[in-house]
Amino acid sequence: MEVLELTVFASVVLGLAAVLFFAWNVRSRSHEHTEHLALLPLANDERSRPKTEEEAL
Amino acid sequence: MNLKTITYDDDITRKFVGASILWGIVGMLVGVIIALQLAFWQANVGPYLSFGRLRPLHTNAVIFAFVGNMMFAGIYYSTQRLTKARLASDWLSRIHFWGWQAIIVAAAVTLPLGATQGKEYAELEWPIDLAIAAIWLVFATNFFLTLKRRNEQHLYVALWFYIATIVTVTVLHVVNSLSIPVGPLKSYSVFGGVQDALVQWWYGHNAVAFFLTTPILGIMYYFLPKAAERPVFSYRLSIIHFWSLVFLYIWAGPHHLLNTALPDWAQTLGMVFSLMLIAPSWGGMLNGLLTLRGAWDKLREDPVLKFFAAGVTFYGMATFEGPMLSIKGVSGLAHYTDWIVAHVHAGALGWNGFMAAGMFYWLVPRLYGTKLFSRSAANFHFYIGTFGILLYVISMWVAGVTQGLMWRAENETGGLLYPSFIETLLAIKAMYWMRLIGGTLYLVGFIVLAWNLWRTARSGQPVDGTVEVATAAFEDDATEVSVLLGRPVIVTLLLGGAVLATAALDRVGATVVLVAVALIAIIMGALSYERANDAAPSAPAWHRLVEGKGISFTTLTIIAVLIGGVAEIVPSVVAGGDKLRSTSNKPYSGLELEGRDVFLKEGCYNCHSQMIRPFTWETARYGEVSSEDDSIFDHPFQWGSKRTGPDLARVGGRYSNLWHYKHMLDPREISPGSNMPSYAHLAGALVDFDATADKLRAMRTVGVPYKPEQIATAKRDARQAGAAIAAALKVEGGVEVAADSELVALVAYLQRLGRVPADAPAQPGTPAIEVAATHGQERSGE
Repeated sequence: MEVLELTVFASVVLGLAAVLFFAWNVRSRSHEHTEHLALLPLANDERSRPKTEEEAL
Repeated sequence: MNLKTITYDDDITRKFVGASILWGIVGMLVGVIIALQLAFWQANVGPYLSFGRLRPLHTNAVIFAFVGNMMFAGIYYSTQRLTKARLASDWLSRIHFWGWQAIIVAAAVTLPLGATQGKEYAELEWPIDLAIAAIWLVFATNFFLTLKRRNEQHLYVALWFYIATIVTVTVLHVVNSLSIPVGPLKSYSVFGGVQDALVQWWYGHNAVAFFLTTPILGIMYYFLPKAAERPVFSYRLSIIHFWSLVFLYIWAGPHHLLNTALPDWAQTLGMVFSLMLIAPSWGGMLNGLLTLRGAWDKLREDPVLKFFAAGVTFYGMATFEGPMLSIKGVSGLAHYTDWIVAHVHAGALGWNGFMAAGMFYWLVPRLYGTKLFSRSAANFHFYIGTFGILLYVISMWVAGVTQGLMWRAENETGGLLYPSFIETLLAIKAMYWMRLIGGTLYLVGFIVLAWNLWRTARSGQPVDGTVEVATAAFEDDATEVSVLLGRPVIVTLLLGGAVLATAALDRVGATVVLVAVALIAIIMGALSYERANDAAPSAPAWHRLVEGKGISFTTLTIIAVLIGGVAEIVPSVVAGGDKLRSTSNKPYSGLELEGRDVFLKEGCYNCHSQMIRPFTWETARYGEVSSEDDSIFDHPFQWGSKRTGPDLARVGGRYSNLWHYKHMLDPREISPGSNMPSYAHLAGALVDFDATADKLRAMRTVGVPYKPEQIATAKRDARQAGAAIAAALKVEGGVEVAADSELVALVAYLQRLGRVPADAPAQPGTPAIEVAATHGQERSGE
């Protein structure tokens, strides 16, 4: 029984903490930076350069 | 702000891609050969190419050579683009590449020769382990120096997964490889019995997690958006995905040891954390698949996206199946059967193999400034590969469930319905042939890939990417220390510490602490919530700051990863000393230890477990349930993970020496229908008893209580014991065999299993029935 009580208690605390954490996250707008970071790999500023004869050696 | 042009080192990517494809074909070909050996024993050609020696070669080649080289190619290519910097050192890159290939060649030579530590996926002997550590350090140095020289402050999510891979694999490899050398290619693990089991599967499971999963997730986060030409579905989800995955994964190792002699608390931890893993795994899977939103039509045309979508789907299937298999009851049925083989191949062929193919089809045309040579050949590869995986996985599911059910089936009187192990093997033989067909189809598809990409490379010429970057100093949002000691870190550590402290308190004390923790968490949450409302919208969030700080990010990753490992392994290691002092078991004799080394060398653990689980059908078939004490002197442990043949934990004394002798020479003479290779060559191979004393001394160093006088007379004692068995064989069956042959040593070891010397027969070769009776066991007739 002790383990059950502890498990229920821990679950309630974890659940509550998760809800609060989520609310805090939304309110502090900590997610907003993610919009442009997701675009990082899509930057299309690269060109291709054939290897010179020297490099190919 | 200055502008400068950077040329990426794409030559190293080309090298790793080529090596991955080459070793991929080799590793898969060896897989097809061992699949054939299981269905058709005659395919075991000579001692060097028998199943027990080739199976480790297959797993090592596929994991470390195929996926390893693929991972390095993907990491080097994407890291340069994401950091807008050329790799830190061309020299380190080359040392990394050639060093890794040399390690693979060393593995390909030593494993067939029988040089093995006898631990799955960690078979390579100590000199090669040292080389792996050195080359991994070169890789890590090159990677982190590149991060240091980056021209893009923020570390994209792919880089987080690479960081987690590098630091975790370092810890896993170093700890699990700790061993005492006793020769140029021979060593004993410093861990023994249950400790070794825990460390090995902490390593083994996390080799899957941090070698086969996290780097490929990083590759997914970079290459999938590139191929789909749209950003990842949710960057926010990727933050949760990353931290929850790396924190939870490390705890899950004990699910490989459910229902064994591992202490219950560790089994339960492993099971619970494995079940929790489904959340981050599926979060990542959905994040990958939903990146294709609005681009599903491209799947019809683009083979790259076909492979990526199927690969991520197989990841989802495997990470659903994994947690299910980690439930103790399900594990009771599936463990030791081919169901596990199905599970790992859904991951290896579906997730790793298809993600590799997708990445190669995307990369190679760009690395050679050309177009893919044949799109229809790539599509053919996709369909034949998918069909091959399905054939493979379904046949192994059927085989696993069938055999698992047959092992536990009871007749009307409560006895075993199928007392003969061979009967359960013959029932699934057709599935072994079906698996062979599935694996072969997959290999054919991969060879088509090799041909297609070879033609693609030939149609173009090597090109390197260049980019113009601004080399302005980063905005100094915060220092590493201020980020590392940020409020989220402190609060998490304080609350976590308080919860841990309850373990040392009584019930009332623990309740008070937990209530206080809950109240503090709620009050702090509410205060933060209020404060957040007033914060300036432009104030950077803590996680954004961490993403720009390489040292802080790496440090937090190490902490997240180490918590689980320390929590599981330290208690076991601490308790190990007490167990050694209180054991009633006795160390192996010199000859038995030599026989055990033959057992390891031949890779017998690949097919035979030494762990009787607490089920009636197991005790009826194999004898009393295995305890921690049984394997306390086993360096390394030999509990096994698959039963192609029966368990051997209590085989000692069940059969006569002559039975074992004949069985090794021709397994089918004793057990018609067996698929075990012949080990006749052991009769002619001799044990070097000069090395026996050194082996005992090494064992003593790792805690096995050999007395100095035992070590001093080891050579003589081993010879005498061998001569006694050889003489008994002559009397029993007129057999002439050298007293110092490996076969005699192996018989001595097998006869010892499950018994301590006080129980052993006074004369070697005591008839089986007498000894079996002392255990009150019913012979299973295998």
